Amino acid sequence: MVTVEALHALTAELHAGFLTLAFVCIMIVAGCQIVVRYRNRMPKSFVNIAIRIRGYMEAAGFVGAVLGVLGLLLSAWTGMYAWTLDALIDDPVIRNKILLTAFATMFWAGVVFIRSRFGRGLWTCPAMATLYVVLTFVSFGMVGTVGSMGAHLTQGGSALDPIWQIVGFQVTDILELSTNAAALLAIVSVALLVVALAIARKYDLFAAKLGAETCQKLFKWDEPTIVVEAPVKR
Amino acid sequence: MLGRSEMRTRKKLLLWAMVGVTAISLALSPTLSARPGGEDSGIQEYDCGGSCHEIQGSAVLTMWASSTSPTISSDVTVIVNVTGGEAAGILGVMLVASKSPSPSSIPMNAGWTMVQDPGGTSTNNYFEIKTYAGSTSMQWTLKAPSTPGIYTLFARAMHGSATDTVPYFEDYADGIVFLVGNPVPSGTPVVVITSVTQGETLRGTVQVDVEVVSSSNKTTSYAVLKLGDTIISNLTSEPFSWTINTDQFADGDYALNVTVADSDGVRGYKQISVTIDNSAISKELIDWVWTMVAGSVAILAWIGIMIVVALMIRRRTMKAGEK
Repeated sequence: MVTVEALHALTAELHAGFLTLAFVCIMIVAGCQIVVRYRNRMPKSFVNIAIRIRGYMEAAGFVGAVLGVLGLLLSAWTGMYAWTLDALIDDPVIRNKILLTAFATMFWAGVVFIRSRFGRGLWTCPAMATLYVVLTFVSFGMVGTVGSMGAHLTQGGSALDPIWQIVGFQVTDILELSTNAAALLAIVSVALLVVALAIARKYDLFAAKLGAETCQKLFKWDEPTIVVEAPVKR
Repeated sequence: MLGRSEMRTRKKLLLWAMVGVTAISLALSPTLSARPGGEDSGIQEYDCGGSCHEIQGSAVLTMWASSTSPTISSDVTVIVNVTGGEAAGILGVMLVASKSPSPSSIPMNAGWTMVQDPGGTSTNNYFEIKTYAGSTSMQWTLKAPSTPGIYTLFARAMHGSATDTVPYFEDYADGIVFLVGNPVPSGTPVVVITSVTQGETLRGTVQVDVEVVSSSNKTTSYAVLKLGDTIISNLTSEPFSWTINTDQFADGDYALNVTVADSDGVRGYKQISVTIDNSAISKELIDWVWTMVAGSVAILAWIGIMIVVALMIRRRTMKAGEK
């Protein structure tokens, strides 16, 4: 008989693994893109390796992020049954963990949305590529924080504790805003989004296709495609 | 053959890589070595002290005092023995006046004067050794408070393990009750509520623990806990511990009363005021749900805004490029 706690541990490992894969792959692609962009200043072997691996890493990063988001939702579901309702409500660490899991899911959903909407052509546009990489970094940081709270629940401490001590963050302090402040934050954010969407519509920004035909000509950033070498004739 | 410029580039890259690795190593080394490494002896509050230990360990703590009814300002020796447990090497023990994570838990803030800690040269309430090997005994000498009254001292051990990185703790939760300067008539059983303090706000499931001290060494025949006008239950043997669910009480101020009687029928009691505030949980939950929903909406909104900003930057740059 598999316990719900074990199932939750399993799904947590699953999403953590996929999201770590996504983070590592996307960061490697970012590194490869820089190496290829400044190929004249880089050793040839570096450039060759970067060109060969970035296409695979890019695809793996996307798949990792998609499966990671699904894993996060699965973990949230199993987590609801792993603790009693009282523990979910009373324990500040569990509450913080649920809160940050929700936030991490939103961040990673943003990563998946950008990659789905703009394809790998996003890497040819520096502003979008920067947003993609920064968002991935923040999303992974959020997942790491959630993992640290999980370690507090199961192990009583986490490897990230020295960092929390430096930044003065206590995982047992309940993270919450007052109802009014939360409502204000949501209203202001949505209002700004509406303004942003109106601007996007005015300039027809969402019709933009990022890729070799548009951005690459100007920005000189390659699209990280998978390089298939022709078989060597014998 | 590599060209001269290529060689120079490689050398530069190698240099920067070395600088990077060195910088990261230097940045990480103090943080990685800080834990688990103990906190050193010092003045510490109950609970976390210098670092939070949240997992119950298996070491057994016992406490002994040279006198539990000292005269005011007289010297009292308190010994804490620790045996067994997961610790290997570093182990710290704190002597505290209450099980509340606040400055009032430091004995010196509760009327005691620290004369000597187990090291013999300092006056710390938290003492750490680095050579724990299965058992240790630590001795503090304190001067009793100068005001007659009922005082309690507790002990907590904190340590790591030889096999994992779990931060363990163990409490001597019953504590030792001191009747300093004959605060009650001789023969009267003294009641000390060890888990709830005067004026505390209670919500959810609350445990009420009571220690009964009899100066005439009589056994306690019963102990009754009352919250307001409601009798929670009548216990006839130790441990005198009750669990209250505050959901069964309306919000407000209550008198929490424990009355005990010894085998001769001599009664003693302790009464403190507490506040029940169940609504605080509901408000906290509402705030939490709002934070989660509003935070999620804000994150999605800001991602959307940043995408528009990125597309706008692209558009402008491309337009400038075309010109």
